[in-house]
Amino acid sequence: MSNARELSQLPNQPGRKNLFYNGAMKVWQRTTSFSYGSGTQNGYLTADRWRTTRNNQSSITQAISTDAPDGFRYSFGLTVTTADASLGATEYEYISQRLEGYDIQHLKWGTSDAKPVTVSFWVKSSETGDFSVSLFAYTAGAATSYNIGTVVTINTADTWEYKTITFPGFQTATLAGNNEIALAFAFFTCAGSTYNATDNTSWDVYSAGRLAYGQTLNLNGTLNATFKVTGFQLEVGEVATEFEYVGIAEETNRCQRYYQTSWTRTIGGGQVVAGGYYEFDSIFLHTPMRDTPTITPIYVGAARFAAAAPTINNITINSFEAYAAPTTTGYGYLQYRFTAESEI
Amino acid sequence: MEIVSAQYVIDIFGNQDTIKATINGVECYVPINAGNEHYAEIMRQVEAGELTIQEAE
Repeated sequence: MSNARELSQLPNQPGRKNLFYNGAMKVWQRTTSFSYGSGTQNGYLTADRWRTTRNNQSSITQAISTDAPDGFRYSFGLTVTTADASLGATEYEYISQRLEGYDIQHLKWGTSDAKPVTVSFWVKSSETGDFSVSLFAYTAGAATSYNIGTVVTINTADTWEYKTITFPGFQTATLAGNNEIALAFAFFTCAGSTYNATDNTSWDVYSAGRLAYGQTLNLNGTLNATFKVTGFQLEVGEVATEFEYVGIAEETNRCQRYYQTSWTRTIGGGQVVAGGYYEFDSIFLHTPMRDTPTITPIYVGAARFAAAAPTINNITINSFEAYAAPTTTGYGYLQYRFTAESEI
Repeated sequence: MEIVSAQYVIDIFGNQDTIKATINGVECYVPINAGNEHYAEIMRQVEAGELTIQEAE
């Protein structure tokens, strides 16, 4: 038998089945705990790839937890530190993950062959009730967005429960196919009447009322309420299968396509010359990023340089340059760290 | 996203390819690239008349 024929008889390569990043909540590059008060949030606060969006009068602490179901080390936890017992019509809070078009082509969404997907995860809440989960699909440039949702019931307080939801494939329109947002998943801890009153149980163009249809749980309304989740998996098909584990090195590297941090770096570090001369540092990022990142330099220490972070220029998905001018001549240095962010 | 200041940055070779901005209280450098979430938000606020990008020094 030829090698080619032997190869042709091997089963298909399984590939990676879990479309989510950091589903087991193992990567926390920014911080492992963050507290926020009354008002809005719209960004990435703690666990990598999990985005917070809210308009609510409660205060929340979002943190890593070692309270997790068997087979998992960590969970993502929310604790209400100031309650918002009277939920306003336009108040809401949700955690989401956004996926780019490159990662979902095999779903064949936007065609008549669109494949169904199944989301599975573990949840443990101090409050029982129904919370909404939703999938979003986006055309190029997020010009049009669609969503579909359902409710998930917390049956028993303070108990890990395994949940699975199957959504039909999206057929209506061609979705973003490159590094733009193409698909997102969200779960809600509260949603006022503006956002929970329009049936979203089949795919349709997004409107505010479809955001969290059926949401009755108001976790944010109870002081010291807790909500923990882990083991998120999004896979092709109508059946939830065993969670796909990803090693910490690989998972960290995957997340660094969207966000990465540095060790302390040094500009100068020797004899420097003042008077209009610049000292440079050319930095290669750990892994190429989704798109040209925002660079945040963080001052650490300096001698013969101003006590300030360097100026950043020439940013690409692979690298950037940092530079600063010495203030006096002699042995000097400027130490700094940086973060690079290219989230969607 | 709270953006309280934005200013173009020119490097020593005369290239203008970043914006120094204070976003959510943190000073950062945003590439001039529509695929960058922060740049897209800066331009949205500029077009809405909520933010002005200062010229480079």
